Amino acid sequence: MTERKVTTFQFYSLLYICSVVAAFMFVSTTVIDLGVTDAILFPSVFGVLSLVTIIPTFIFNKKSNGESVLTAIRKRNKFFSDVVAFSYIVLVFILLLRTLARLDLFVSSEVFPENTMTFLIVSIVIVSVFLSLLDIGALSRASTIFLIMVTLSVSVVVSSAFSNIETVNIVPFFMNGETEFIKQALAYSVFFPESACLILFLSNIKGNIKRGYYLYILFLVLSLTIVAFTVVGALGEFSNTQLFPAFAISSVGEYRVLERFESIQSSVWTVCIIAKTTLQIMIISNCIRHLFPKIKWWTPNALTGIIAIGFIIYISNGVTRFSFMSSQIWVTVTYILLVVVLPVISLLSILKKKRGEELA
Amino acid sequence: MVIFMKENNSPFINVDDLPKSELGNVKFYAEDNGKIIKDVFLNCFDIVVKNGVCGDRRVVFAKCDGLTSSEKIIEGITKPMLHFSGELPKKDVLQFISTEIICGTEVKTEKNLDLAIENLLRGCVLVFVDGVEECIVVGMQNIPGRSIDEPNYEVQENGSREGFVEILKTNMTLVRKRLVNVNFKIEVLEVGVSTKTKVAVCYMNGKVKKEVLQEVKDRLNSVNMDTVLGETYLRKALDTKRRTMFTMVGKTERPDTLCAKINEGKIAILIDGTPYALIVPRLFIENFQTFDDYLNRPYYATFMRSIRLISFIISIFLPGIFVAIGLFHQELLPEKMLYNVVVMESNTLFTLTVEALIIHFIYEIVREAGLRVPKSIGHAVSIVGALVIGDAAVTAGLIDAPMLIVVAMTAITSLVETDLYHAIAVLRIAFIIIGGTSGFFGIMVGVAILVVNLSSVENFGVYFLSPLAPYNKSLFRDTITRLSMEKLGKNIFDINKVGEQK
Amino acid sequence: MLKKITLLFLVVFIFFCFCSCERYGTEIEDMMIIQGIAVDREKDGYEVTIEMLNNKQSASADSSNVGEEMTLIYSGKGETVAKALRLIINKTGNVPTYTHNKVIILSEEVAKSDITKVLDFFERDYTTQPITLVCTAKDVKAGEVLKANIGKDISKSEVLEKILNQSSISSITPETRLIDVINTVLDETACIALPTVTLQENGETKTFFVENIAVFNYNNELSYYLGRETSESFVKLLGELKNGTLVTEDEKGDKATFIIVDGKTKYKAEVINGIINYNVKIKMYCDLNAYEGDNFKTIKNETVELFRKNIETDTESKLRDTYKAIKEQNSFDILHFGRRLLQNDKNAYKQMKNNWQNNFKNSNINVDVEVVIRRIGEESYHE
Repeated sequence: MTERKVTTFQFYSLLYICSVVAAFMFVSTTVIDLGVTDAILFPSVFGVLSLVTIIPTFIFNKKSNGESVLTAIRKRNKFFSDVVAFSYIVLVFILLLRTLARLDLFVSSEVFPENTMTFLIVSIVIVSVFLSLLDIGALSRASTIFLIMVTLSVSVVVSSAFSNIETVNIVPFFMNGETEFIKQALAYSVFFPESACLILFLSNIKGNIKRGYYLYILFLVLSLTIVAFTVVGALGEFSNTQLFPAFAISSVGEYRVLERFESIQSSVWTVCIIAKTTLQIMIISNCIRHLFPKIKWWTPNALTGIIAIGFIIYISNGVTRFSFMSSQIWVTVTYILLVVVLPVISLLSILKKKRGEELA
Repeated sequence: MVIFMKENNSPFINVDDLPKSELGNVKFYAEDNGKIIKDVFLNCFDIVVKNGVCGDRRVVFAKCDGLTSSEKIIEGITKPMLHFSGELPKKDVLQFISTEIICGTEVKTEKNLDLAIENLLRGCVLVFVDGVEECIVVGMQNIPGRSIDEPNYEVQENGSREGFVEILKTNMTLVRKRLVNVNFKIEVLEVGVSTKTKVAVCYMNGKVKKEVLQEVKDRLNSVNMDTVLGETYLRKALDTKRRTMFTMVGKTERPDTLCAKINEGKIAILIDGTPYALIVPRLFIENFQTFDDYLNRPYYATFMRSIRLISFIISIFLPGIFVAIGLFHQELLPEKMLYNVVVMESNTLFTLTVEALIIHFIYEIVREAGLRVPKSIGHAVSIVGALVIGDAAVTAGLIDAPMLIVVAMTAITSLVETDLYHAIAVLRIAFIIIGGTSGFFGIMVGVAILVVNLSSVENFGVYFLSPLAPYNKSLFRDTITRLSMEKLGKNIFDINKVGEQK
Repeated sequence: MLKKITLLFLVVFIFFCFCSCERYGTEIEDMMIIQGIAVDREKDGYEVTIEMLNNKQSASADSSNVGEEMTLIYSGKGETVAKALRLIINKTGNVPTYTHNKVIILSEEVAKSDITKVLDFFERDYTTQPITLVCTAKDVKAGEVLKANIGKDISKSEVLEKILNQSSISSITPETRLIDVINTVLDETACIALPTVTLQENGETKTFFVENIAVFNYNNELSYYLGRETSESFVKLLGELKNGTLVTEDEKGDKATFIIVDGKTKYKAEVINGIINYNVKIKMYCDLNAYEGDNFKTIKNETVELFRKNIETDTESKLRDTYKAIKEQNSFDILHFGRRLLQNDKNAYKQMKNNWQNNFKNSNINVDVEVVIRRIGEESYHE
């Protein structure tokens, strides 16, 4: 009786919380320097980049009449659709592992450093597996509520830190030259490959996809900029000494009733992390179902969860494995493949077939 | 036709010996029919069968004593019939009797003896006439029941003081007199194999979706229960198929509330024998709305609704959060408060989690005891409860004062939402355990599960969390906020629009 | 099958929850809630003194507790600060938490060696708040500050925190949170300046007193102290003017006291012929607080004008002197003037930062103070 479709608002709020949590859990790396004033402009570069990289998806949407990528390709070439599905499985699995590894790092270094919290990560994976058995609609609707929670917690933290912004910390832009800025900004942008999910759920969304996407990017860039501004202004170079700079701003601010917000903030992020891992497991299991249509309905999700748990237990036992997961090359390669290469070749494949049909 | 009766000397009837129906049509001779009824209701003193003569024919009256009004029967049926001295026509005797002799408003004829007996049990009088294989069924019910009273559980400041009673007819009247509208329809179904409970489906034609109405009827018809003695029996059939702690079937004992809901396009189900009506579908937000909201000024209604929502959140999460702060996030507490908590906590016996669990169990036990005991000793329970939880436990070092405040706060806030109490009580305990083992981190995992679960719940095409998720701007105006009547009047809350996603 | 797997997961989860309950989380009364930390130098290592909340205080619900201190003092010795702090656990048996730590006190000896070695622990520790205040102790061991008897049932760290906060609000000493110290160290051109606490006798008890500023060199070692007058001007130059008092005289020598209600500082740096010129504009909003000379009569317009000019010239000359003193005594840039140059002219900064000490020494300043007198306690001037 109900239409199993999600509105653009719901879907993009899901994408928003997935992206924004990546920004909060951002780690200062050797390539990216978050303490400099340039970091305020990174989100804008990311915004421009996302507007460019989404073009193939939009064209695909038009040409395939709103079909999702796998079904659209399968109609034309079954083998090729299997290849695409497999690539999505591998790439999204890497993203899943990165999310979990980042969460593990976060939990073990900021939340409960005295204990190994692998069990918490494991329980998060289990929860995500169960939630991923529901449809995308439930998750998207829930994420509109998560969105309220995230917005509230972030605005409380940012507003409390705003009074601590010091002019001394703000320096002129492009201190290290424009090329260095572009390099860093691009390196920053590739940490947000969430927009690649859009092409997979085209058939599930109803509403104006383009307008929703522009608004999503606008709000994402705005909130990332505000967070970056607070980090730079309130923390200055101190942020480079911190593992999670966006997290550190919550320890600077102070309200009368509550002395510190870290725990509140980190727990709200947990919700976003769950939504993110659920979405990723959902994508992976959908692709597995595409490859093996006769499989039992819950098996792919459980399988993904079990493999992810195995990997995460392996990863959580060494600091080098953590850094390997977020090494710039890996992140860049996954981003390019997910956001640029896969949509483009999918688009080409259906265009080619169409032309073939016309000739015939 | 053979009567399925055995000789039985015992004054009690063996249930297996009762006829399994299929008595066939009404017999030709009135006395045969009377005999059948006597045999069917052997040893049942409340079934009265009386023979008599009307004109030139023998007649038999049958009634269920207690369900009928004897005076009315004498005045309306027996007196006119027995005193009738004229000649009965050869044809259409029953027609003649029912129109010319009997004074009654509800008169019909029945061929099937089973159905006739069923009517007998519902308080009708059966009149069998010699020579006709049909009987007259006259409605002369005087079913004993409570008079219309003020509702006990849905107490309100303003508004009507009438509440539903156990008699379906009265309840239907209470609704009908408020909804003077040709579009308001009441359809009566029967559910329950043994009880044959009458269930009235009430809806506003034109405001309700046909598929939804059909689905409600289908689900009610598919109820395959032996007995239906209360509204809860039907709840399972009408509720959502998702596993959740919350229900999507509403319940009310106020006719005015019911009318308001029917007018919103919902479907109400009145059940004979209970003073509660069921309403489908019910949204999450309706738990925080009362009929009073519409009788108060809008700003106050909005304030009270938000207070109720906050109470709900507090009653579920407060103990869990307190335990989590005490064990994991001490940094959240301001200096002075931390100092007080530390000092008091150092004098208690148990860890925070165990403390919280113990005191909640004690609270639930005291509450349950208070609910079930006779009113005369209810005071004793509350005094003991207050002493045990309040003072002695602190002095004995079982729990500390801050935890006591937390529990008291939770207990009071959970009473604000009586409809959600079952979910609250269980979730609270769950969140104490989660908060005690993994802090805010775990609590938020729990919240995530809860929210996703809530947003996946769907019934009759309506999502439980609507109009928040999916968001609907025009309907959202009458959820947490309540706009003035003029504004709402133009755009009345319509359940069918909830399903539409914008 | 799905049900079985669900059940299995549930069992594992519950097993985790109940069996490892003890490992996760610490009961609140088992915590060592540290209020303040003082670090002293020992022969080969450090002696760390902490002030913690007295958990085991016997209090009933009405907390009518007499005779027991609110806080306890413990100290421990070790090769490093972290080790010394860990050793304190052996004395208290409680798990340390630094979340409520208010103040870190460094002794003079510790300050004279590189203080980053000491502060690194607090930067790395996840529970320490970056807004913990840092100060140095003068003429007394740092541990003595926490042990000082300043009265019964008082948390010394809390008192010290209030004093430090208040003195930074009234612009006597700069605000020196841990994060500020770390940012200063990371800034190549800047030097640390920390407020200094001393103990004063007050009958049987003692009181804290904060007025001097300890100046550190580029190796983050204590170099010298700024006196009281200089300190106040230093804070004004630093751009942290929030509050404060000013005293000036009229033509008869009667004194008038003004309180600064608000202040704004603007910087402009330009490089002319290889020499940096700073233009510092300070705008102060003042209220008249007390005046000796008018016999309760209405104050004259000219007098107010005179006060205004006096304050302006006075402050300007004081600021200039302070600047001169700071730049000529070893030229440690505690004023963050390097950063001010960067904000104005990043290319010049890039050239000059390598030889900053010299460039700072050669720089000139032009101070322009503007005073706005807002209230004089009366409705109008006497014409």
